Amino acid sequence: MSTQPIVDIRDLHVHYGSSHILHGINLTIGAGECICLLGRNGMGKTTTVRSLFGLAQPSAGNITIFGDDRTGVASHIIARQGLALVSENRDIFPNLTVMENLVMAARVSKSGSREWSLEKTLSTFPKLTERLDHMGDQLSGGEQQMLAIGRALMTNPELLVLDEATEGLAPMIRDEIWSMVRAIRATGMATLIIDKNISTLLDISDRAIILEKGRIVYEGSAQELAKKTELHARYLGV
Amino acid sequence: MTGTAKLRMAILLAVIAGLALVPFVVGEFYLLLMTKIAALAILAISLDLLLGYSGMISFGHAAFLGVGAYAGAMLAPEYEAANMLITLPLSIAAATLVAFLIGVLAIRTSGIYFIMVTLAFAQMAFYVAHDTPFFGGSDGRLIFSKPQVRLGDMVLADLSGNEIYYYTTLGFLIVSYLCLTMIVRSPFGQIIQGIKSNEQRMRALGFPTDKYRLASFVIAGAFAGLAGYLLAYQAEYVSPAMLGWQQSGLLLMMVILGGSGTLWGPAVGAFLLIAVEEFLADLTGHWMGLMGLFIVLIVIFLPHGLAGLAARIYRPTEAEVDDD
Repeated sequence: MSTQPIVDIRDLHVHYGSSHILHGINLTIGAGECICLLGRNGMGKTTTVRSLFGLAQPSAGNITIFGDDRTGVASHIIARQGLALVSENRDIFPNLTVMENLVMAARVSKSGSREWSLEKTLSTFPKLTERLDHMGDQLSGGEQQMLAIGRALMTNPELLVLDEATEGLAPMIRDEIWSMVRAIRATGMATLIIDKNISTLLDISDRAIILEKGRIVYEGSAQELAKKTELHARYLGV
Repeated sequence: MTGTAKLRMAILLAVIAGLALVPFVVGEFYLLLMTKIAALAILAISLDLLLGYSGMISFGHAAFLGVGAYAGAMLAPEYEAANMLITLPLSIAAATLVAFLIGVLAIRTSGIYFIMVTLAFAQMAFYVAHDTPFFGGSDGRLIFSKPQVRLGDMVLADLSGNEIYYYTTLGFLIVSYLCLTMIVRSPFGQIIQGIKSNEQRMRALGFPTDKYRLASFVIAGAFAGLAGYLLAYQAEYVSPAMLGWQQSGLLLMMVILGGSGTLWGPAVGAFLLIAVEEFLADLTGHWMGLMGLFIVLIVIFLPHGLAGLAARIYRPTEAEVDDD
């Protein structure tokens, strides 16, 4: 709608104890954009996401969400600004049913939209419909991932962050999840995706960012990066 | 699914009917004992809200029992019966207030620190009761008669008989059980269960988890205050021992014995623990050693308590659980 970006990260530094993890990251995510964050293990992708959500404390820099400075703010407040995180370990609540996992997160969006209702979420992930009464820990890995994404959508976010959404899943399930991500993206929701499936990711995304040792070493169109195979070899080890 | 719900309802009604018949089949001693067990069961299920649903292991739950009991005793007039319509809400309010004050500080911690902080606060409450003449010091305080339910000068119910007091306590147990069941099944209940399994995730979903943990702590404290009031008038006596760490430990044992996270399990646990205690005390003077052994055996062989045993015996349709 507006030109104001959803997220604007400026010169972000993060330390874990004495190790300097992020060295001045700049990242802007506009409405409806799909950005992929690439890089080998330990390069700071997850830390970037964690600090965006207030789960890791920045030592310097600013995080602005919808124009307001949210650096170092508690994560529940950040989530209520319209950000939803699907983390790499899924974090399904094992002691709640699939239905409870979904409805407990339900919330209207910042702008008052209820677009992602239970019905719409279930129609996006029809597999979950058959499992509504099952406990969270009775699901397969793929179903858990769908539930984690569904739960995030139920908060009606403006920006959906997927951190290693297809990690450890069978190729068929992975393809299923990617097609759902495409469907979500088609609704105009902004997405930030971290994954190791570089070709699929570059195909889905508008923009690609490569992190190397806590610094951004490439930022540009995903289509461009898809052609620059020498960069894949240098930074992504493929 | 509906079959399970129907069976549960049938069992619940049968248990209530059985409990309602107790005054007709047992003598006075066992009736008093059953009254005490019913009040302790309220405590056990209120602690289960913390332990089994919110993941907060409170080693100080007896403090709220004590506050409810002492408030009930302090409010009792010396020469006439207390009016339950006034003294009970005030006693619950006192326990709720103390739970709020302790909770505000305690919920900042979790895990072992939460256990230690709740224990510390409960011991503070114990020493306040123990060392203050106003509260009767180590002698405690006597209550001279059981309460009445009065509107103005009109006595609606006189609870001085053992039977009617038993039914009153049983009624409060049933209401507490239904209230807590509704709470754990409500959206609030789902949120606290989510916090139990993964607090950080709940925060990332946008829930101010501290507020929910505090609310859970205060609700449990309020029910403990109710139980304390009922226990105080059952015994017609309050003493600092009600607030001691041994009492908190006993309550934890009831919950663990019955099976946490089920509500009904801890209620049964309260019954079993007191029943076993009575049985062993009849057998030998060294019953506490046997009691310890009993608890150890339960924890080893029934890690999920009696509720776990029931779940093992009654498994619905195992065939439903197929895999990916």
